Amino acid sequence: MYQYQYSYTHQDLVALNRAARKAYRRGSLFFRLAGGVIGASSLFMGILMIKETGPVGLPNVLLGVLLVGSALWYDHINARFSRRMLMRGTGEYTMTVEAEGLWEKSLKGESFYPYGSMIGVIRCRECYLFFLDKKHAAILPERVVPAEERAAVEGYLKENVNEIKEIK
Amino acid sequence: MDFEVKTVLTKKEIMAYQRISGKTVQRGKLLGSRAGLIFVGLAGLTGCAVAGNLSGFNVTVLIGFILSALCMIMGINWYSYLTWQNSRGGALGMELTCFFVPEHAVIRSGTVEALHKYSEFIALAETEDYFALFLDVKSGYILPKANFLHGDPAKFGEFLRQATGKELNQVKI
Repeated sequence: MYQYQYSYTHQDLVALNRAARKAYRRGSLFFRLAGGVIGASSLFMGILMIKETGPVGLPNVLLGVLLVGSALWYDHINARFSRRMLMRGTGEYTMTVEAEGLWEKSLKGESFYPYGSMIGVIRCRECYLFFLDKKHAAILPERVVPAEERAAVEGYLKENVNEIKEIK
Repeated sequence: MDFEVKTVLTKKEIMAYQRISGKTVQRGKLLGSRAGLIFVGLAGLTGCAVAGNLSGFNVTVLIGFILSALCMIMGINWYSYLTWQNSRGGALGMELTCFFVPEHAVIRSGTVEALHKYSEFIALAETEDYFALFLDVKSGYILPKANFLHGDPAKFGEFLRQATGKELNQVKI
């Protein structure tokens, strides 16, 4: 049994969104690409309009920058939305890794997630992500695990879950 | 006294939860967002109509029209939008069994289990058909009065009031 206490950082939520997108929400690639293409076209058209007719092309440029920016920083933007969706007033989370599952405790209650209830366990950007469904996961960042304990925790997890998928 | 309630989250329950939330813990925020979207949509449509008359209907005006119309539609159908958003988030179809004993509440969904002390709830609400318990402004539980497996819904409100020390807001949705 291993126990860690921590708060989620922006990078943890980026890892969550990145892993979810690559493993379970591949359709999001279409929206990201479409946004990027429409944004780039709008930006290009806006610049041409500004050159020819003046500031009338400004809304196109703004929309283009917005869409291209969203496509480029997709995971970071989603991580900000994830942060907003997190329950407030939880304080630090205490995660206990047990043979049967994970206990997650906070000031807003405690939850038990058996490994059998998870749709997958993914290691992405130095975080272990225990997916409960395609959008929600319990996160165990490696930074909270002391360096000398990391190999033991990974071994312990591998013993108890079917597979730990690696996503870069 | 113990209570047991089973909830299956359908669109009806999710919509009811959003409405209750909009009238209690998110009152100012939801009203502001809704009014803001309608105002931005109206202003955008007016602006686009003026710009269209002055400089002709080009792509910029068309994009403006579409975005303004989207704002208007979202503002008018705000609760439907929130219900859709929550349904996509994985809430739709979720089956919860909630047990309330004097010491704490236990919420079970499949093999996942959550345990809450009553002090963790920030607000309570009751409508004709539901009880709602809020853990924060965005999270909580909705319990249909018709789905009590154990205990009397008529006594549940008083039980919650005593256990949490919070007022039970009476809400019409």
